[in-house]
Amino acid sequence: MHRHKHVDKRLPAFVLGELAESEATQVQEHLAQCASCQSEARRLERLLTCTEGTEGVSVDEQTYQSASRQILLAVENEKMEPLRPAVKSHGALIWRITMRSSRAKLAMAAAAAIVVALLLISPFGGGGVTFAEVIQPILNAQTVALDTIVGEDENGPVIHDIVRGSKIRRTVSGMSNIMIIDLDSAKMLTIDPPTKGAAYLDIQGPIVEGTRSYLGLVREIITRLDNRPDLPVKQLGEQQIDGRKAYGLQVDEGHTTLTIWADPKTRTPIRIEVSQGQSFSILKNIEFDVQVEDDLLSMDVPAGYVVADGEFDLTDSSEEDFIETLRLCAELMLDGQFPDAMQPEDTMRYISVIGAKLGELNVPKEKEVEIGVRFARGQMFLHVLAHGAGYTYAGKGVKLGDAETPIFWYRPQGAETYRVIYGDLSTRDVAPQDLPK
Amino acid sequence: MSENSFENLVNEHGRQVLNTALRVLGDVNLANDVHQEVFLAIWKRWPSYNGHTNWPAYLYRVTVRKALETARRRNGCQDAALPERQDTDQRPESNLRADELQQKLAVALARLPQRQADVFVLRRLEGLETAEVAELLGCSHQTVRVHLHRGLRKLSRLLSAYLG
Repeated sequence: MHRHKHVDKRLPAFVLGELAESEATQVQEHLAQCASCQSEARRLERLLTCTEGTEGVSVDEQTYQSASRQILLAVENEKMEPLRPAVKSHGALIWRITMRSSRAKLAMAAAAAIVVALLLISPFGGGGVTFAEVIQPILNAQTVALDTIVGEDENGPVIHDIVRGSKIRRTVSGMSNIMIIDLDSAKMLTIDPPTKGAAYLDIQGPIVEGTRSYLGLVREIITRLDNRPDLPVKQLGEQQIDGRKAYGLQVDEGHTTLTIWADPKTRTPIRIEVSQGQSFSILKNIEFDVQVEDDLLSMDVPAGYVVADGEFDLTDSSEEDFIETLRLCAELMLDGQFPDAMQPEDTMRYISVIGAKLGELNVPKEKEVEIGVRFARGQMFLHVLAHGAGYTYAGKGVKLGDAETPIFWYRPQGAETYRVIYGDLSTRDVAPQDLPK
Repeated sequence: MSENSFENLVNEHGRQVLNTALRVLGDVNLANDVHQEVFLAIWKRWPSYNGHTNWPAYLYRVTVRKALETARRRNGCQDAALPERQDTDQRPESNLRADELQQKLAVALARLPQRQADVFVLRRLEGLETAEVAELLGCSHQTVRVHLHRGLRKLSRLLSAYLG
């Protein structure tokens, strides 16, 4: 039996003529006595025979010319504008989300999907390293399962992604909905098992890039760093990471620092940290080339789910939307007190708390969706500021209604004065020298 | 990157995309569809590509993926398209035309893990050497060999009804 199993495994190498003479002889001897292996060898040979000469098959010149013309005409004549680059176009964010059907069962789940998508729009834009063996699995794995934590709090919400080609299956700790993202067609299906709600979202413009998953961004950084042999790779030595021995490598490109902790034996990354400006993220529990069933990445709505309908537009998110977000956070999360922090990554935590609170309050579903959209618009506003002009948040310890205490300020594009939001959510224009110290 | 460079990309690599799709699918019209899908998808995201994309490798991977998706769509339900092996004296493959067998092969390929399918297509249908495949996929020669062996074993099982 042992011999049979051994030979059975070696049959592909045998029919491909890859075995050493002595081993090939052993296989032949076994084949003479084993009908089952003989049949398998015959099938493998036929399989190879039927693919022989395929490399000589090619299209004729006319077909090739015609195919090229069709593409170039489609691009030129049908005015197919390519999408704008991701993070460089925050000034003209265009993101329309279309949801089909008339029942608004999806409630906060859609809003949560929006927030997560927004969160992943990242300003990563510089840095590149050749970590030789260590980076190979990151760049080349066909499927990857990983957890991403945005921010430095390892106990914060975890984004779990299963990535295969252009498709991502995403879940987030503390949120019930599952997102299936197809980057090629710029579509997201979000389903919410508890409410049996589902929605298709068209994700366009920067959202497509932002939704790629941090793995995509890390891949981009590494590819860029490949072309910067001038940057030194810092050896961080060995350390225990997530209970495993790991060897650390770090590349610092000024604005961007990439740290990879890899298994010293297999050279497989265990943990990746990316720091850029104030943004920090951790990729962990990384598994490469995992088996992924097609069902997990299907863009079809499962049986029994109701597909939501409606349309909302985040193109013109405004300060007013953000003020509503502040109000929601204070009223629904902290009994009238503003949260300690208001970084884009904090909002993921907030939305799950607010969603749960709305559920407890038996808010009608339609209203929930409206609130969710408002929240998402507020986040869009915050996000654009975070990756643009910047802002200051000082709401920690301030109570809603406090008209004297400024909690948030920023300078609108082209303005000479700052917009300041106070604890009672009123706003004023303030000269730079009069800003709170 | 400019529109001109997109045109250059189509002119430079269009033939490769068409031929790979044809070798997987065995049908010029379907290969043409794959060619369109591949380049239009690239055009839609054109500004996001940087100047360092390894186009031959990228296009091979995308083309194989799109071609296999096309094979799946063409055959509808995969399970119905590939019956289990039956214990019979008949040798169905002898009655199967070459293009029909190729169609069955494409459906079976679509059921392999992506990396095994990539390796099989590049090694057996594109006729590339192990070293060339390793370079294109960014893995070792040994990994290529292992994926090819595994892919062959799985294909043999999936197509057993046709291979005898």
